[in-house]
Amino acid sequence: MNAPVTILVVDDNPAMAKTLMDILVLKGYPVHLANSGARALEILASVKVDILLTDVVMPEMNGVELLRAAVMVQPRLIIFLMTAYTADDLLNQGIKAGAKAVLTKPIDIELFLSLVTATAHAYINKEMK
Amino acid sequence: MNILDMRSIFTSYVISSVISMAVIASLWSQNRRLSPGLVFWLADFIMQFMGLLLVLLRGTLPDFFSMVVSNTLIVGGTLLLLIGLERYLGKPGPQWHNHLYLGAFIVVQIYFTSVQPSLQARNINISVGIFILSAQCAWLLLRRADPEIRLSTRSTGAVFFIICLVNLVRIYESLAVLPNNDFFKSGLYDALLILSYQMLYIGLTFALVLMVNRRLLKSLESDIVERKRMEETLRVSEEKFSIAFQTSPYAITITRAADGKFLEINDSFTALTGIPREEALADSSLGLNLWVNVEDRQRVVAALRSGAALDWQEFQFRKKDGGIITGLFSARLIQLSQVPCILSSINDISERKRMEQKLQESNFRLEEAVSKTKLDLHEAQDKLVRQERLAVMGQLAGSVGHELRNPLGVISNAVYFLKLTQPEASGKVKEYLDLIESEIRISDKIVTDLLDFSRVKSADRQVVEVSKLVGQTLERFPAPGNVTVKLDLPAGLPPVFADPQQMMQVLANLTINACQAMPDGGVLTVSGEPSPVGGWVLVRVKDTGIGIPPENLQKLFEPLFTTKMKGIGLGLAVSKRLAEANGGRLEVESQPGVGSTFTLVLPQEEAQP
Repeated sequence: MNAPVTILVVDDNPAMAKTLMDILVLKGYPVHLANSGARALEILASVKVDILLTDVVMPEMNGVELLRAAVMVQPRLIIFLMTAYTADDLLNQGIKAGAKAVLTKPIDIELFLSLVTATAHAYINKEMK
Repeated sequence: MNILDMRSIFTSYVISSVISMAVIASLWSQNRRLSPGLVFWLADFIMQFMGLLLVLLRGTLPDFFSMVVSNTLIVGGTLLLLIGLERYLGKPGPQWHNHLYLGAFIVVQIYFTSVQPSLQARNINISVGIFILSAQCAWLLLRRADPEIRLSTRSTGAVFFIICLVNLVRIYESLAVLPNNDFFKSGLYDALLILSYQMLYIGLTFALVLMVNRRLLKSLESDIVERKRMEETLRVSEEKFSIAFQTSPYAITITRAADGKFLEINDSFTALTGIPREEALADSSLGLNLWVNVEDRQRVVAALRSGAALDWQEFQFRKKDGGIITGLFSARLIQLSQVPCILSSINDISERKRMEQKLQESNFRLEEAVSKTKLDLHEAQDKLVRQERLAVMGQLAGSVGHELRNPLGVISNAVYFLKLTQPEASGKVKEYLDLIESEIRISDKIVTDLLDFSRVKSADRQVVEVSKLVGQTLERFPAPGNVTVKLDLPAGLPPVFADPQQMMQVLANLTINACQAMPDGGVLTVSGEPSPVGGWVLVRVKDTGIGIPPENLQKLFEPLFTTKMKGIGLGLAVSKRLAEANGGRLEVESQPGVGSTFTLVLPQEEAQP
């Protein structure tokens, strides 16, 4: 039932990244995992990814910087931001830079999955065209 | 034979002396207080009478009595008169020479009676004796007497002067004419001399009476002058008292002690009490009801009668119009014509009392104001402290919120994963997973409140149905099993214009609080209705819980105020802020023991500007 969309999950908190990945894998999506922006860019350079789900507040490279770098690598990438904050300048910058949605931690998994599904459908429709 | 019978003349002389003696005795008895000298006068006149009587009885008595004793009485009497006059005039002088002379006179008289009887020698002896003493009297009255009274002594002095002259004549006559040895057979000259003696004796009596009379008159005059002076003094003193009495600013009265009858009052009394003078003087303090407490007057009278003086005692008095005066009362008991009376004064201090009262009241108000200010200050301080705590909290909130949300997120993901992978798990495991999930939501809400409060989030307002907001809230935060939820949201309820996320946050706060207020269960009612004035929708969240004490109602919406063991006191503060950010407001009413109702007032769709 799940469309073949590949998801990259980025979070400096390994537990967060791992639990998200396990859920997505269980739901049938191919998932890649990165604990830093740099690692994420390496993956993006080598693998085609459809959806990027990244934490915003991370050491060295934050989520928005990663977003900007990522779209340079893969322009068709669909990006979701995760944050512990409800409102932040950084989030606005992220939305301006092209983030599809901002999810507040703890993430509403059902909501995220429905977004992924919708993206997958859109992707399939596009492919079929 | 002489035409003037010597014995007849002498008899008449004796009778005259009796009358004179009576006159002087009367003078003495009436005026003896005037001068101690008068008794000597009387003694003289008695001795003169006795001497003359003894002379008259010559022949029937032994010669010693009729010649020696009689003449000694006459001369000694004259000496007594001299002493009496000196005392009368306040000029007592030495008398030793006169006493010596009297002794000599007696010796000479005895000699010429018994040893060598000679009427001529005796006559000379007597005349010399009378002359010596009368001359002293004349000198006393005419020269020694004080000039200012000499006028009154002059006539008496003149009589004595004449007596002196007559005696000189007699001495001359005795030396010139050789008499026979029988006194009562004396010649015409002798008879005339005796007659002169009688006249002079009568004259002397009159002169003495007149002299006393003069003195009495003078003393009467000075008495009158003295009395007039005293009357004047009295009048001046009375006038002084009267002026003081009448012009005193204090109400002064004189009343009879027995019944309070007014004997005198001053104008101030009338001014103070409004009782006219005539009315007061016709009545008594009791009759006019002056004393508010009649016992006060009884005590005052009793105290005054026991000898006490009253000063500045505070009493209440009644005016004619019934008004009450507070006065300082002073009084003394005085005797007026043997009647005990009370002289009293009243100093009206009613105004002062009123001022004191006012001052006290204003003091009280001031104290109240000060304590209220203190209280306000205290509250402001409290608020400041809370705001300071809040500022620190705001800074902490960001990092803590962020740090907490990550582990919460991990737990949340883990629970989701477990539920996904364990569809076959036992009921107990599922129940516990649900429990963890629900606690994660509440924890997340606390973090959200904290973060919301530490930053201003603008409202993303849109048209939304109240029933949708309430439904989703209760879905995310279901009430515990022991709480019955009642919904009263009519179908026709107008939608509101607000940020749905924020409103759900508010409703979540209200419903969670409501459930926490009913730890032993109860009814949670969420109702909606349009406002009577229109333009608003009232969403009520009502519980049947413990209620809120009135003193806490004011502080309820202040941040960091909490009565719960759990929670940090931000929920209602955030809710109120959110309601206001959406153009609405949040209100509360509560009754301890009955329950509380929170009303979220939100603008209707069209109401937004």
